[in-house]
Amino acid sequence: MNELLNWLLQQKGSLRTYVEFQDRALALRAAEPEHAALLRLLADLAGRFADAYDGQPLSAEVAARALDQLIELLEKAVCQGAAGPSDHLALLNRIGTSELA
Amino acid sequence: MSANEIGREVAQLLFRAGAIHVSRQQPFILAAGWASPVYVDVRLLLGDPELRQAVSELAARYAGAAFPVGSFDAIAGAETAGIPFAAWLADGLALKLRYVRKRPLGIGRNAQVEGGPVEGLRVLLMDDLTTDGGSKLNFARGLRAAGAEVEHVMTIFYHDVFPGAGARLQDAGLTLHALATWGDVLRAEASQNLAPEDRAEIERFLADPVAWSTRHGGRASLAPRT
Repeated sequence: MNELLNWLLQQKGSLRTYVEFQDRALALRAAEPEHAALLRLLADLAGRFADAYDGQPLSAEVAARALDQLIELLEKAVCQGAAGPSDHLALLNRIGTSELA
Repeated sequence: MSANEIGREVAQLLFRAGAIHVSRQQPFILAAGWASPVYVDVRLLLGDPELRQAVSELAARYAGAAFPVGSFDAIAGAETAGIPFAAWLADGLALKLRYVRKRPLGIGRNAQVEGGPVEGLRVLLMDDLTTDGGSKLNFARGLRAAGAEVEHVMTIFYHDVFPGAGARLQDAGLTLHALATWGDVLRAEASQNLAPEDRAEIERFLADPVAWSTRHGGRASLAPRT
């Protein structure tokens, strides 16, 4: 997931960022099956945002806020390596109840 | 009716639909990552029967002038807003209709093209809007993967300001046909109704869109990115 985070940190947060993030996260499940649930939830989160703004005006303010949120969640996921099962579950639940922007 | 006249007519329709949005304070981030003070919501043409009929007729006229009779077997609408425009154009030209998803479903038949087979069909891809051409490449790939011959893309509006779009499509063997561009919008009679400050901001943007985008937090270069 480090590579995914490094990639995301270089993006501007246009809609294509979220579409590509979704593809990358889903593809990464094969290489990191231990993170499959996290990646699926993050991919769905990004996909919902992309769907919501597909063809809609995306203001710079909303774009920046959504990108910050997604980076924050992914950073937490990356930092969870040594965390216990309850912390993992808490993060999964947080992502599962989040929406961007 | 010339392509220029069609462009001006379509621009007038866009103004009548309220499709030209200007935001000087808070720029829009377009799908390709460019920041822009303007956003064109072509879908507003869909809602009004008079406007959609008018734009459909103009699209059919454009196609009639640009392509010899019998050039296509089908029109394929790009998900989502391209589909209704494609349907009306297919009706006008008495051609088959298909639509192409942004991506295959990933489950079941995993189809990206719907409405029937396209193998061996010469298909005109139809969409509402083109910014840098990236999504058109994706749709054309999907159609070609399903066996269609795709060489032409028609779009209601094309920004025609961000560098590289035409070349990118050309490299992929696609020719873009836009009914209207920013040039048509600014030449349209209705553009006189733009607030002077809005018009000035649009002109500053059009004079150097990459610099404008860079200054307002958007994409800053041609380097491939999302």
